[in-house]
Amino acid sequence: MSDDWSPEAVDFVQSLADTKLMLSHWYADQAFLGPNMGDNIALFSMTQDEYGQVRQFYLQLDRQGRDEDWLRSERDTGNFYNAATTDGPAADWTEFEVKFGLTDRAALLLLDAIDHEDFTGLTDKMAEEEYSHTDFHDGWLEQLAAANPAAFQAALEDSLDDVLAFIGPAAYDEDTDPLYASGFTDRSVAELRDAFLDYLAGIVEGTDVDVPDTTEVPLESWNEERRRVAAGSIEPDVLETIRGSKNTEFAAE
Amino acid sequence: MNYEVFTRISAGDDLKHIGSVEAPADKLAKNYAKTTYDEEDWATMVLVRREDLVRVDAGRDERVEAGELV
Amino acid sequence: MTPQNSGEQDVEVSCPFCGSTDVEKDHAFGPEISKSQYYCNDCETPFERIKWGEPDRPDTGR
Repeated sequence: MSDDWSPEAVDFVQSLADTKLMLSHWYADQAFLGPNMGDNIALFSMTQDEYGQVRQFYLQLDRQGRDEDWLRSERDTGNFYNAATTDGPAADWTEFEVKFGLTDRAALLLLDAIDHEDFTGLTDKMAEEEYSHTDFHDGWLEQLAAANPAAFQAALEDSLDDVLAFIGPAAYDEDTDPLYASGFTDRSVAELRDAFLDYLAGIVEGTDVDVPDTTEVPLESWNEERRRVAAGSIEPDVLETIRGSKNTEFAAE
Repeated sequence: MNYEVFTRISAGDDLKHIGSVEAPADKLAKNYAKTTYDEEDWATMVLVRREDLVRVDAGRDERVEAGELV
Repeated sequence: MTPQNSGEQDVEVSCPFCGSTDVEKDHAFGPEISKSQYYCNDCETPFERIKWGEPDRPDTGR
């Protein structure tokens, strides 16, 4: 454990953790709904992976002064720094894969960029788990882009700016990205955005889907804590589910 | 699409039919097969589309009916 | 089921939390059949490991 995290680094890790918490929630929400039994097995497995990773991130955040009880059960929806794509459920399977699959990929790029001794071993272990997520999502994304290009295109246009805002503003290059400058990450936001867009181009290659033009995130309108431009948050009923409010009487002290 | 899953545990062993998966495309079929059947350190795991199985005990081009191998 | 072969033991397993190799396998099967459950004797933490060989990592475009 070390005490040299910058305030930006603490926010960054909370955003990664909260996004993974919501991915875990929506994976669990979908895990009995298919489309195939193989998808249910994968969704249950990914639910566990994400939740386990959240637990590790929360332990780290607690050591940095961001209280675990507050993270788990005391904060309001506005204090969740999850990616805007994970605020609500998906309307159908294509939207599910586009918004959550791409958010999972973006979160992988962010955690893989962490270059800090507190994460040695941990992020490698997480990348090992994420291999099965990328294998699963890439399989579906390629299939859906080929089979339902119009629905895929619409979902992509709805989600892409929010996924990119979660990665961060393009203006954060190696000279201006505070996390890169402090050495907490070893790839700038600009490089991570390029890596994400290269990946996405590979997914839709040979299909009728085009990667939409991206909207430049103006630095002054980007929320550094919540890694988004859009307003909004998870709904109160989702918060209640995440907290387990209905069963607090049974919780261990 | 239905896929039949065949494996062998060591080089030289017979390839054995161990199950089947249903998936919309090859890449997903591989993902499902791995998640469902990767309890051993298989030397080989291969998938065959059920529609590609060719029946030899009847007409030459007759495909194996879905479900026969399950 | 066919008996397990010895391939699982070929790779040295280390703890993802503290890096120690003083670890032992608790259970052959974890929450998924492709994972085993381990325990680190140094930092006293349980962890899971993908069973066979050196696990893959996703391509992050590095």
